[in-house]
Amino acid sequence: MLKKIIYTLGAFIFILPIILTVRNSFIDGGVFTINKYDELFFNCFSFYRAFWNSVIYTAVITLSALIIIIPAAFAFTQLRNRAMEIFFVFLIILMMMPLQVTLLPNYICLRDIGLLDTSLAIVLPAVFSPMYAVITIQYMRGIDTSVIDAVRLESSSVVRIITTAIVPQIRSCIFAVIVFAAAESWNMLEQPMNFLKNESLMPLNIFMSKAYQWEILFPAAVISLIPMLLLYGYFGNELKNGISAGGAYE
Amino acid sequence: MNKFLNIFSAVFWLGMLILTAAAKPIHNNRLPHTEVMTVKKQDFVCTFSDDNGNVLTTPRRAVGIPGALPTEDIYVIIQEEVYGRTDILLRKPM
Repeated sequence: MLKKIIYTLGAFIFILPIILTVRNSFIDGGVFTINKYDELFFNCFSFYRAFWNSVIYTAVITLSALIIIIPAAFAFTQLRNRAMEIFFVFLIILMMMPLQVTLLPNYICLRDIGLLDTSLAIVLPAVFSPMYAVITIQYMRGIDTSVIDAVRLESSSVVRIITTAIVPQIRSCIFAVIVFAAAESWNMLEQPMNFLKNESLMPLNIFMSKAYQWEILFPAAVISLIPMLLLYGYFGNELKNGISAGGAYE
Repeated sequence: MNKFLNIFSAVFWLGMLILTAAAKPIHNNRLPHTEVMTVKKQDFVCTFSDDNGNVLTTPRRAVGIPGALPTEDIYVIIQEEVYGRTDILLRKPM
């Protein structure tokens, strides 16, 4: 019983900011009102631009990351030689580095290839994020290789092996990567702050951090929560499986 | 649960699309013979003034109303609202 109370209290503390955000978006001067939403939806057009920018960044980053990571992880699990192991250590080191450390090298690199202040400056560094690759590789090392051998007898096409033998087996890992990548790119703040100047390219978080009226901040925050809640609603269970299974094969 | 999720997400995305589509024409609604005026925004009541400081009109909620008509002879349309700086195009009748 005591356990239950403690857990409930802990969960409540975690959910409190969300409750307060939703509450504040509907309450103005102690009265229930939807004026703030009215203000945001019909008086603030840059909100839509920021919202769709965020949606596009998130979708492009997540899909491209998947397209790149699955074949890469396949290569890592199939080619077990010295060079690949060294490369894998590099990946893990990169994964351990905090974002703030890689921000400056990323900035210099983007500046030198002339991609600063373009949407690619946001997308490219996020697509090649090592974390998802490491998760996928760890997961893929634990799958049943006899299925791969069976497909090899039928076809020599790598694409075919990946689509028929690998993807069905790493389903929950893929969903975990989708949720992680989407959440991370939806919430990113430092990259657009540093890599972008053009306000028409800014995502929703920057819009909110620069919003000068408190009135539109809370409803904008509530709207920005919804896509992530939907994503978690769809993939939440798979996410749990993905994480626990990935951990088991360490 | 899943059915609720599907319906909710469909409504959400459709709603955002419709709202965006509804908001968009204002950007394209550029009329000829326009001049940029400065707008003071206080508690969402806007005061429009010309370069000499003469108050032209105080529309109830001109900002955000597509092609709002604050007075009979002044048309106010929104050009762009960029993070706190509101540029408004004011068109006088020809």
